[in-house]
Amino acid sequence: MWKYISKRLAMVSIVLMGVTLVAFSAMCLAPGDPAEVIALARYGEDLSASQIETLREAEGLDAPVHVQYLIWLNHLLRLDLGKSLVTSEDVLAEIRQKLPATAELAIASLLISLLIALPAGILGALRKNTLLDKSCMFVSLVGVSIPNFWLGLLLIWLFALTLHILPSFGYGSLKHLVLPALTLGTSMSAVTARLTRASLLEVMGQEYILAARARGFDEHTILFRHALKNAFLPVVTFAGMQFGYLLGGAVIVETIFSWPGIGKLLVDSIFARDFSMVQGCVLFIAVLFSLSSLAVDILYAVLDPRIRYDRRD
Amino acid sequence: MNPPILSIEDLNVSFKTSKGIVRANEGISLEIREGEILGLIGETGCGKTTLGKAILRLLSGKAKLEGKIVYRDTDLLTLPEKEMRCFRGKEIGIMLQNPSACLNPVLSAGRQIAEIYRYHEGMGKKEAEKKAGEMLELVGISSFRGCEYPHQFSGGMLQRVMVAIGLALRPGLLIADEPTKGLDTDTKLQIVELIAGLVRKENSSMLLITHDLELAGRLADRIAVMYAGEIIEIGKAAEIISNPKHPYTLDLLHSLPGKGFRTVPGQPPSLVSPPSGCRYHPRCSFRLEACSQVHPELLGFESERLTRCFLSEMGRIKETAAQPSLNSQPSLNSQPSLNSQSALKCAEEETWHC
Amino acid sequence: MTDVIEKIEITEKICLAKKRLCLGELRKNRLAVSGILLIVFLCVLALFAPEIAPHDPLAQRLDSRFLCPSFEYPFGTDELGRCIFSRVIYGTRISLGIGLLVVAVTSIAGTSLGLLSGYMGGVLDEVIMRGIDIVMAFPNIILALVIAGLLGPGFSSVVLALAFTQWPAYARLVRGQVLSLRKRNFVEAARALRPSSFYIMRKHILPNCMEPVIVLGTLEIAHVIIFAAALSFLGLGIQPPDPEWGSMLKAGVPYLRTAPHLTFFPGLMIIFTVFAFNFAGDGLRESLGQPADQEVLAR
Repeated sequence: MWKYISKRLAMVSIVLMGVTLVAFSAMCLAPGDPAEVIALARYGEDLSASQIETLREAEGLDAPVHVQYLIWLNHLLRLDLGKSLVTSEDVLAEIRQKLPATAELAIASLLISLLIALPAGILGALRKNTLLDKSCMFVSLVGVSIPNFWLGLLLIWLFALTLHILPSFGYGSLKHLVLPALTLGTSMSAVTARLTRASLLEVMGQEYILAARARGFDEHTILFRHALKNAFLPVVTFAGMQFGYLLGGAVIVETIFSWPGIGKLLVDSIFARDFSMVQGCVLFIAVLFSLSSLAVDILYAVLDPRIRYDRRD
Repeated sequence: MNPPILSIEDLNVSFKTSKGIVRANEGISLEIREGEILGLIGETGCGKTTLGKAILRLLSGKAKLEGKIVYRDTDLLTLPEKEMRCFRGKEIGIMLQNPSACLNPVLSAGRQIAEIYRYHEGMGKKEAEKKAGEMLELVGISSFRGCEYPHQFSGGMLQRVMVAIGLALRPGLLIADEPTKGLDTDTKLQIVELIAGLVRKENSSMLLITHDLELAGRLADRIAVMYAGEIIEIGKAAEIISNPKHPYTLDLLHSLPGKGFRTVPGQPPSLVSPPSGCRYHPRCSFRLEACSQVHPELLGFESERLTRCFLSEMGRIKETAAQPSLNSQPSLNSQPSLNSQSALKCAEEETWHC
Repeated sequence: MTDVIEKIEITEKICLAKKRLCLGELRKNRLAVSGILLIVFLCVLALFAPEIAPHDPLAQRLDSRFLCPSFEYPFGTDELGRCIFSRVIYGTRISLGIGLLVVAVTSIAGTSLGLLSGYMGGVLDEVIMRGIDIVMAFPNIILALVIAGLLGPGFSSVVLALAFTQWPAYARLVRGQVLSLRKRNFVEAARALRPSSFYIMRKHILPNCMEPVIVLGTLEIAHVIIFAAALSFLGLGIQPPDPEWGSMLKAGVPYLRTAPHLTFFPGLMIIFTVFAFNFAGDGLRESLGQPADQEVLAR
């Protein structure tokens, strides 16, 4: 297993290296002269050419691109993501401040989605091709088709504006969490439910399930002791991808519900043309996502003895 | 003669598919007696595995079963599913084909044995694990390997685990479906002798499903030959081997490496629309005119020896067929005289394997 | 040699027979049929928008703002008195246009890269795979958001942003297919006959990868349409006054309490469209007998 994990680790480090390269070059590729952009963001309009030149030197923007990258990388390794172009706040500090809100939303959404998806998927697979299964799958196909921003608006309209039982935006209490988490959770559950069903169906068709039946076990034992552990393996891998969806979905849901998380910070920074903040947010999200994929891979190895006890180890 | 432990009466198994109704088993009547090993042989796709699974009602929901399967006075086909479960594993054990697919990849071998004891005999974890260890030792695997997972075992070892699982509850009847598939010759013999030894020791019965006539001849007390969903010949093992009465059995014998190594001509027929009359007639080298029109019955002069062939009814195959014995050498002289003509024909049509 | 050729011919015959079987299956699959009919309907809407729409989608009429759905304005009017029904119909052109364009670009690019990566192997494979990993390290909506943000709003930047984020799905899918196909006998046999890699890729491997690519492409259109609407909803995609569903939703948000029909109908149209492509894609997948694996389910 250690061989597997170290291989994954090596891969993740290569990917992270690439991620920094992409994040850095995105800054360089942004339209306009970076020094001008910074000057514009910091001092407003009406700048003389000499002022911009001074700023270019001060920020090290006159150095060749690869030197700039190395300097930037050096800062990055010391967890220095630079300062916001607009507010001059430390980027990492800003992100760290927004992190709890996003984490809260992500965990709540994940719980909701699993609570909906797993029973629906399992039930669908066990009652394959019955009315229950078909309606579950129809609903989930509809669920996949509903954009989360529209679902969010619908929920606001229903629960906040019409029924007046929940706040439509803001952050703080559990009540505030309900609508954003519900929006993100239900829109995620559709895909998970479909995957759970497909995976369990495949497992239930395997020979070892028939063999378990031949040993006289009842369906309950077969499902819980033999089928689910196998069926959850792809679902676990998928959870890694789901995490990316969660972070992406958070951008939209946080914007709709004015949820003060990293997603909203990112969107606000894009509009403010605060490129260093955008860079910091994207980098942070990508690193988080890559590390979560790594964690999922390790979890997979722990769950699947075929990897855990690889004979080649 | 011992009383039967399992008797199958006029069993029909059919599946509805998009291409039509597949009649996998038709009019099967069989008896397996206490303490007996019955070999069930036939080509791939002739319905032997279906029969094995049908006994334990392990076929998918699409399968339609008619007839009677009586295990020690209980008709298994009329039992509710819940009571049926008590027979599976406990009364009748089954070793399905392909052990690497039949063992759950994420559960350790020991646990897969132990859970049988926990489920059926309500044992505690410790006790069940101890029993599982004993069972592993019994099939020749050291008990400390119980914590290993299926992918860590070799093919022969996996088959041993399957034996341990099949015999865990000392069932009265063990159904072994192709227990030697994919194993090399040495391991094959070891496994087969292990199974037979354990079965004989417990005085249990066994249904050995295989396409290996030699193996069946070596182990079984009686042999039933299946072709296209029907039983075409049944009798004492030694008699079937030394004196086959159905042309198909004869052809099977000739396909053995020591008996000419000649493939049976043609392909096994489809079970959706089997040939009219005798199902073997398109491939049979002795066919008569009646063979393509009238379906022969499974008949015999003695109740112990039944054949589904007109030739044997008329007693012709008996006088014409030479008697190849198990240890005869593959030489032209030992070719059955009756078959010399057809052998020439076969030689032209068929590729010789080497 | 002759039996090698025979083998190849047989394989191709089987492929053809399978295709015919699939078309029959597809006709039986109610899900797929209804999806395809809906898609045809949407295409008609897009093509004949000027004939179908009762009003000019851009014509403002300040005396008739926030009208509820009526006979004259089937979906009511928006905050500038424009006919929502007409705008929604014209919106089909933009959304379908983005969806088809992005999928066309990404499927061709992704498939070619996947083919190269899977067939050539070696360093090229490593480079392409790591490239895919790097792009996939960013949640795709976030990457699209940032690219669209950098490029500035507009049709072309939406297409570019989405194209850049969506190609890895095809490349990974095709690479997996190629790896399993390479081991198959008929490819081995073809390689023995004709050593040109390009020929084998085009004649033997590509046709056998097409089915899953078509399924993925159909599902991807649905996905791209949602993404494009999301970008516009956030204000980074198509800008008003162009009648894009996402930007119409955004414009309706301030009036959610008093005039929910401003957001309701454009959203419904997105769902309808996405639904159609999801149905068709899922039905196609089922009738082609492909497993619902992650590559297709989770984009």
